[in-house]
Amino acid sequence: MGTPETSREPCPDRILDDVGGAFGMGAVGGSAYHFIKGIYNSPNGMRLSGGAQTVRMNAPRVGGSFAVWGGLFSTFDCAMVYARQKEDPWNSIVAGAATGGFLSMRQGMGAAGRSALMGGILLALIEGAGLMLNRVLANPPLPADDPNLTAAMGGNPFPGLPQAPPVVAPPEATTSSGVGGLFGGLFGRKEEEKKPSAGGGKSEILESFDTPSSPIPSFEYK
Amino acid sequence: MASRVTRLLLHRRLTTAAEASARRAPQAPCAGAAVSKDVVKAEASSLKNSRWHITRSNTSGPLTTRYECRKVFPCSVRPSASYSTQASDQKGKQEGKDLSNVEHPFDDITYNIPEKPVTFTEGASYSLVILAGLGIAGLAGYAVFKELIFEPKEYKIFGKALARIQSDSQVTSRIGHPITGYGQETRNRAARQRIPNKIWTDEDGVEHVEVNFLIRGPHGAGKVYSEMFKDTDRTWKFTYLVVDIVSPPHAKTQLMLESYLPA
Repeated sequence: MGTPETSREPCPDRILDDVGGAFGMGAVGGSAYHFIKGIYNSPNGMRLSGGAQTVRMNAPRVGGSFAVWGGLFSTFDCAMVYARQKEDPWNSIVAGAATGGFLSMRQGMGAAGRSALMGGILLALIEGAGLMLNRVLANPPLPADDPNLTAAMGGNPFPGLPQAPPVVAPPEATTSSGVGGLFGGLFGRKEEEKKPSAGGGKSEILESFDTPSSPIPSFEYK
Repeated sequence: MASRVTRLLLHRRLTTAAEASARRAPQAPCAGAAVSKDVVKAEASSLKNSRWHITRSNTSGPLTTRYECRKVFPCSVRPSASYSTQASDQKGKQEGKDLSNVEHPFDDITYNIPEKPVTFTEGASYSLVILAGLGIAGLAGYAVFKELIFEPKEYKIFGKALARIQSDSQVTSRIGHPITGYGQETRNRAARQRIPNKIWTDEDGVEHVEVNFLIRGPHGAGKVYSEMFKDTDRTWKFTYLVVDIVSPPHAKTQLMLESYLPA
């Protein structure tokens, strides 16, 4: 239950973050690649200096290309979020296609169309792989979390509302999953600080136990 | 060896007989011509038959054929000098027989080429490689289509619940009108796009999907708990849809927009 007021809307500022992150990725990756290439193409005795020279010549260019791509991708992604008011994998796929097409527009509409198609296919594969990994990683840990939940329940007993509980969720599970929600919030905060994908997976697994903790209130404003 | 020697001797006798007949021809024009024709035909047929025997049986076929060609030429030249029309007819016959002789060795070579076993083996191996490639492509296509083209259940439920919330005045009056839905409160794009969900099937065989997500508007934010089940007519229906508005503080409350009560 991280306080939403402290966390701002990510979209306008995320573009700058993505530009920096993409530049870093491209600069580091380009440095490694071109260092090896320079070592390979230099004569004996001058391999280290050759590698360093090649890195100095090419790494900033590769970083710049990645920054341009990342910035455009993030811009299109934010535009999709604003237009659809929904965040799901389709935003990334459309943003990838738009980025590919936009960067190739100078070469003509035919080339732009082909690049957009390739960008869309590439991001579709990436999103598909991500969903498959998420599905595989999410299933096994479910039974392993039960002792943690029971321990948490022993530590902090929360009274749950017994009115019309879900079929799978007994009252004990509701209280324990409430505690799980708190841990999910904590993991969410840590994830905001570090931004690792593994943290996302952990908090996602814990927050999946938030579902039984939905007590149906007796008051209605309809 | 003896058979070869005897055959060579026969050829020599035949050639000597041909020479004798050639000499006799100019002496007696009418009767001699008729006799010489018959003798020449018999000699030609015997010579060709002997050639065939030699080529089939002995490895020194080309040598003997060359020897015979040299001897046969003067026989053919002398009749042509005396009788041009008859000579041309004989030449045509000889040429036809020569063509038939030349074509036969090619047929022998063609019969010895082994094709079927090699073609079958290579075809089988190539077919296996092709099938493996098609299998890999099929797996990739299946993954893409299953996960993206045919929308996953949690995203379908997420879309329906979000549409229901966006069109509800109780929520819009509290947190503002353009309401955005996302999975988690973080700046990570993948985590925001991933909706926590739980899918299970109850005792009656009905499929249930629970989703949790966050909503945000211009004036506040909230948390949504929703569950849908697939009804008997294959449509998704809400079991419950609860919106927990956590911000702004003065509007902190819980709303139940959907609740299923079986008749």
